[in-house]
Amino acid sequence: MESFNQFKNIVESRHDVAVKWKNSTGGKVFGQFCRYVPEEIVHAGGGLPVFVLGQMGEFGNVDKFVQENTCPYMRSCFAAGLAGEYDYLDGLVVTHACDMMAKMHDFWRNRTRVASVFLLDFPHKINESSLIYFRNVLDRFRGYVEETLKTEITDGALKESIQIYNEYRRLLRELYGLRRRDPSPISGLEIHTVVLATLLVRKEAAIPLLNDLLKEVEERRDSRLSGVPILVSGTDVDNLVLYSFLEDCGAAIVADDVCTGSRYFWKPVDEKLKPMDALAERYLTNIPCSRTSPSEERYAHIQELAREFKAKGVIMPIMDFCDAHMFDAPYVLEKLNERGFPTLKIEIDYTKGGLEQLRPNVEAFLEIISGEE
Amino acid sequence: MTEEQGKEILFSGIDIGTETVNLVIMKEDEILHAHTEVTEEGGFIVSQRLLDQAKRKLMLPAESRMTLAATGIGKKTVTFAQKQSSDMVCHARGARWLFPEARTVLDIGASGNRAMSVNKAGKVEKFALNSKCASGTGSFLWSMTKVIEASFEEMTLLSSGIEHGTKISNYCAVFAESEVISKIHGGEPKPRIVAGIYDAVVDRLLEQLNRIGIKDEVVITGGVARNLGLIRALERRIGRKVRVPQDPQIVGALGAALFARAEVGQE
Amino acid sequence: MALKGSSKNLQTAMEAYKWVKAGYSNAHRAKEEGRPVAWLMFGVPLEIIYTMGIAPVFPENFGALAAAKRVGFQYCEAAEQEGFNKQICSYARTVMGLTIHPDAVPEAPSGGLALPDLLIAPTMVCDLRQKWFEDVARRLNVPAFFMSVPDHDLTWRTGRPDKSQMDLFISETKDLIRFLEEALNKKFDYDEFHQRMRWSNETWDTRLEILELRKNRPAPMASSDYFASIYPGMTGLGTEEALGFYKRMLDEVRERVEKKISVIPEEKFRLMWSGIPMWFNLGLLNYPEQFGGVMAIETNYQALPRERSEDPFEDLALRYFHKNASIAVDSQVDLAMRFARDFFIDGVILSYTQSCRPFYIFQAEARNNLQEKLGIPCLMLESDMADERAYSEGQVRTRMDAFLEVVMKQKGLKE
Repeated sequence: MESFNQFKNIVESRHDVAVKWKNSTGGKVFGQFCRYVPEEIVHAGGGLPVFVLGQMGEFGNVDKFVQENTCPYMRSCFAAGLAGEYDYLDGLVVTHACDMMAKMHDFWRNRTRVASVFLLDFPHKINESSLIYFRNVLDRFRGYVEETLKTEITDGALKESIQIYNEYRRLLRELYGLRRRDPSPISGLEIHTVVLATLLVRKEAAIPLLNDLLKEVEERRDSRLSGVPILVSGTDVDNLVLYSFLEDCGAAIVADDVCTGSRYFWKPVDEKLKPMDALAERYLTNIPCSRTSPSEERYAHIQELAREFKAKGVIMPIMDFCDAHMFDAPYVLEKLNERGFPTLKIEIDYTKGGLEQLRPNVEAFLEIISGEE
Repeated sequence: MTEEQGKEILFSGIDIGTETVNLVIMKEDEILHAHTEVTEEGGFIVSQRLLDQAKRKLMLPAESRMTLAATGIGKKTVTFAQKQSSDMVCHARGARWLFPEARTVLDIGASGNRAMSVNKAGKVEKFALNSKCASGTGSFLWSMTKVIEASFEEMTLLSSGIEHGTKISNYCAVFAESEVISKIHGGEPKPRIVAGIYDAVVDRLLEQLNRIGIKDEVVITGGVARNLGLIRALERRIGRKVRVPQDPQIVGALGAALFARAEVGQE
Repeated sequence: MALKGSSKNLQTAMEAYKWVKAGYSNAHRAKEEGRPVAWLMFGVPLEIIYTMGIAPVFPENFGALAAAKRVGFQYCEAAEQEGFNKQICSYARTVMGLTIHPDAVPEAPSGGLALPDLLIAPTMVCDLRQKWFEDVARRLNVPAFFMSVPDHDLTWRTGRPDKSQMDLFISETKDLIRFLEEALNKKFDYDEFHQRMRWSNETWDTRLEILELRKNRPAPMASSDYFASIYPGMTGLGTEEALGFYKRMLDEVRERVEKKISVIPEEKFRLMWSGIPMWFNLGLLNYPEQFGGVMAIETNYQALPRERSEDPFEDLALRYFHKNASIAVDSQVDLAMRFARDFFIDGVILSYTQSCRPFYIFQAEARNNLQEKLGIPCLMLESDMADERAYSEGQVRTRMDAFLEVVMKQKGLKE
């Protein structure tokens, strides 16, 4: 399919895409690991915010600095940084979204050639004082972006960027909505490729692509997806191989609760508030990930999605060594079980062999919940 | 209808595992043939060979219909199988057929172990697999036979009667091996060390068993179940007797054959 | 070398175990008498807790205590069989094992943990501490309060936070007081609080003085003394008794410096311990002594120089934000380098505590910097702080001996 291939190409040649953009526009690129970064601020200044992505492989070059028993996603990204793959970044925004991510700040600053690194603090609790604090954090962040871009970011520019981002979010929600069809016209692998691609380009470039894709998918009559309807819940599940693996095992991924999925775009920014206030409010109160409290909103989001998209079960890929998830997951899964959703927890990392070992679990789980015994 | 005009309708299951291939051929409610082969060859070649061998041995007429279901890690290689089923479900199904009161099934294989809880109707409810490390598996016990310099049977004999073995505290198989070696050098009597090894393996097995809850009857499958000393150690720990099939290795293939039978029955 | 306890040199260090016992029995007694008991994570301002008349319990310490009593791993096993992942912090596994299976060990060390009426944790140091208490709160149906504090990984360089960072810390502290007032139906006594702040500041200064004295050669005290005696400082800050304890310790150390009383007869080389000790094998700290080596200093839990304020809330905030209190990689590397120079260190042992990622993530860079910039030999020891099953005697012995050889060669003590 024509438009889908464009998304696929962006993901596969993302470094070239970013460098080409830099050369043709003279603009600057800011990397990030996490969706808590208020991208509109970078966008309003004319910068390109991109997600730094992990990939499968062995990361021997990292061992000298970061030992093995640490978050494989962070290690994988750092390996790419060490290898010089992200030398074109003019800025890297490291969010304090979890212990390991925050620690990465010093490693990237000391050991890679990215031009600058900024630590964006993110509160552990969502309440009144945290909002005030976070608003201040965003002021400092805006200052950093202005300095790096050597430009002033006006409230007017912010308003425009917010509008563009909200339009983008609306389109993705519409695309997701098509998965309510039974069977869904778009597979989990396809949709995550699409979302991932949009994390690597300016949103106004993504919008026309999404519009074209929507038209094509709406008209799809051949069933794209067969298998047991599943919701995938996790963290920064940016590893496309995981989605294709799960669908290969017999899952049809109809919904997700991941940072590089629904949680990224589900809530819009309130265009009625002053832009910086609106950004602070939306990014702080956006559906929280496992580490931030209170988590009731996250549990409600998962259950709602599972119900809306008629998932028969929930698969939760948990990154090895992810402290927040290790404690949180059993409780979330128990709650889902109580509400009638069977669940399966799988531990993932980025080594090639790791996924195949999980096949017996996943296949057995799917067979059991599909009632095909 | 299971018999028509000289044609026999048979059901078979083939289990392509990491180190072994198991074949079970059934007719109605009876096992006609069961075979375990240790092999490194590909699933496609081995299954064809085993099926040919079985057909000759059973002197099956050429027209006999045989519905084949494949299971195990290599099930996809058996491209000529009519059906496929996940091996966990097959193990539970096979164990249940052998022991109709089975509610807990523990499969201890070469590279991993898994526990399944089965409800009254025979459906798998919960399951738990071991984490990626090697301890608590067949390969761990195998490496221990080298360190202790005794076969599985000898290990069982050595440890018989020992209630409390030496504590082996390292849960990592690699470190546990060096711990055992230093205990041997330290003059610790072998019977107690072997009992300690069994206890350590049982510790790992209990992690999976406790996650799914232990209910009678408990059935142990997989090649490692032949290890009587280990079975006894497990029984002591969980405070109840367990059932072990005469041939614990063919349970997955048996479950696949039963699946083939059920599917044909429905058509 | 087999697992064993450490030998201490200071009289005060040898008496410190009484504090531990008293802390636990005090909590048990409070429970019996109906006084409030709270489980706390380290970092909660204790002056506030003591002012409210709460008997504090420190689950993290229980992880260390159970490990030192050589039973911790049994609780860990019990927790793992309940489904807790092996990668989780061993303190958490120990305590969850105790909570769910109190009979996993026939006699719980110090009677185990008195059940809490309240749970309080700051969000500093690691995410897990918050998640852990959230889990306990659900299981035991007990109210929990989390002090959400700003990340000070950037301000550690100057110790000077900006206004918004101070504001968040202070408003969370005041929220904590409100939470306690409501939960205990009792008004917060600000006079008592001010007094306790005075005591804790004096305790801090006393500990600082002791730290300075340890720069002397020969070392008047060793890491084994230090780890044995941190309990009053970590759990009793804000009490007059803790202040008294450290004053006595300061006197003792001063005397030893004056009289040149050393840890071993002939101090040939000095080592530094980076990170959390192996609580089940504190004897390792004494191992180098037979070769003339003293574990002269350690990087963890130190009281360090910091800015002050007359206002107690600002003062608490400045204590939180002070230089090198952050466990950011650069902060801990900087601390290790400074200590290595200031305390005349010839070799560094880096404790790679498998289940504590925040405390081992910087060790590799500490090693890189110490070796490359200061030429100091380093040993990375892989184990755990509370789970002795992660300890491999053979490995540690070989590596330790090889490391000590290198240190002694470099010092010209060996061919």
